[in-house]
Amino acid sequence: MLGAWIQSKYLKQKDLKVKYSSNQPFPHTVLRDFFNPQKIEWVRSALLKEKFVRKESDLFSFYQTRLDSSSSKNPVLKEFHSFFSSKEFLSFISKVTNTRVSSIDMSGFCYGNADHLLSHDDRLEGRKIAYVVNLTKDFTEKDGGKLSLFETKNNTPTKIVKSYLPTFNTLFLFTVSKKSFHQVDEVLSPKPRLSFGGWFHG
Amino acid sequence: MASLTNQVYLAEETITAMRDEFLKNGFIQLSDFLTQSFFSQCLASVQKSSFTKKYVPDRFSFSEAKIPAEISKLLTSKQFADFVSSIVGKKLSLKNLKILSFSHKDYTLLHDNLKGYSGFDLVFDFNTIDESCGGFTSYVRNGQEVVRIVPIANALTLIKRRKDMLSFVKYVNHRSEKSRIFIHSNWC
Repeated sequence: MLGAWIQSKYLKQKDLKVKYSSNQPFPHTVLRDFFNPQKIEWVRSALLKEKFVRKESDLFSFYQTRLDSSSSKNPVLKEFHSFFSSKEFLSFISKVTNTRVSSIDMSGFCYGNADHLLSHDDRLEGRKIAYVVNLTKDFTEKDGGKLSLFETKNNTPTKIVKSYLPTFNTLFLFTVSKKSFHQVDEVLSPKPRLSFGGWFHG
Repeated sequence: MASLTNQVYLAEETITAMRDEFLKNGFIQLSDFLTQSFFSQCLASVQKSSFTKKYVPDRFSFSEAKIPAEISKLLTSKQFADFVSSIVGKKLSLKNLKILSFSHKDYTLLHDNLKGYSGFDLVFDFNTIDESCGGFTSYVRNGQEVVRIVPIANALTLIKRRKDMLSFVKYVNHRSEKSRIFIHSNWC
């Protein structure tokens, strides 16, 4: 199952583990060109057909669609969810992050023009590893929408020290902790910023 | 005060109507509050003020300045205190009088250490900002928005606060051509 979904270069897990824990400002990694190209195209097309709900608060503005094993009728998304929650993939994530994970939750997100998610650490009981599957196409610097990571002092975020453009077919992973402050920079263009995101739970 | 503010708001029957509206809704927004000439004078002073940036990423991002003398003189006058008291039904004794500026990328967030209070907020806006640009003040109770104050230039807004009510200023996005600049104060 792993070989069908993930590019073969990512099946050498030992190297990835080293790159993960030592990354600053907190353990994270970006796995580029991660999924099977054909499968991830199908996932993107299927996500675009889902029903999104507008979400607004002090912290964020975006569109969201929750996905669990029964919520979507779309066979591609069902298969994608099953793969993400499969023992093989959970074991892969555990090895990459050096953290034991046993279940997931998953939502699809679409950030429109001016949408954003401000600084927060993601901490909530059970959340071990946060993930983002980027399905955005053709984003450049001027489109905004980067995932930005904060440096912290006494577990309070102080400034952005790293930013990642949402590049198609990347898997972003980070360990949820008192230091894991991050944000999605405001989208500055009408291009939709599409992703799946959620957490691997312990 | 009479020479600086809109005469309409000082008429006895208007005060009665404003009091009724405040009692009913828990807030009131009085547009064209200052005379045009005094508003222009205040705006010019505010624009010359020296603002200091306040930034704690998971709490807030905005700039703050001292309140110009001519505005402070009006807001701390006995006549203004009597006027506001006649609307909200509680003696005005302003605390934390300051001018805040929210430009593109500024915001405040709700967090666990934020404490509500039983009392009143006073807000006076210097710029009109469309709701789609953010920058509005949202008052929430039990996670639900109960009042949203969208900035209107030269509007005085009074809001009744309850202990279980918190507020935040929504992130100002790139659509906004102006900063939201306003006086904020409260009293219990």
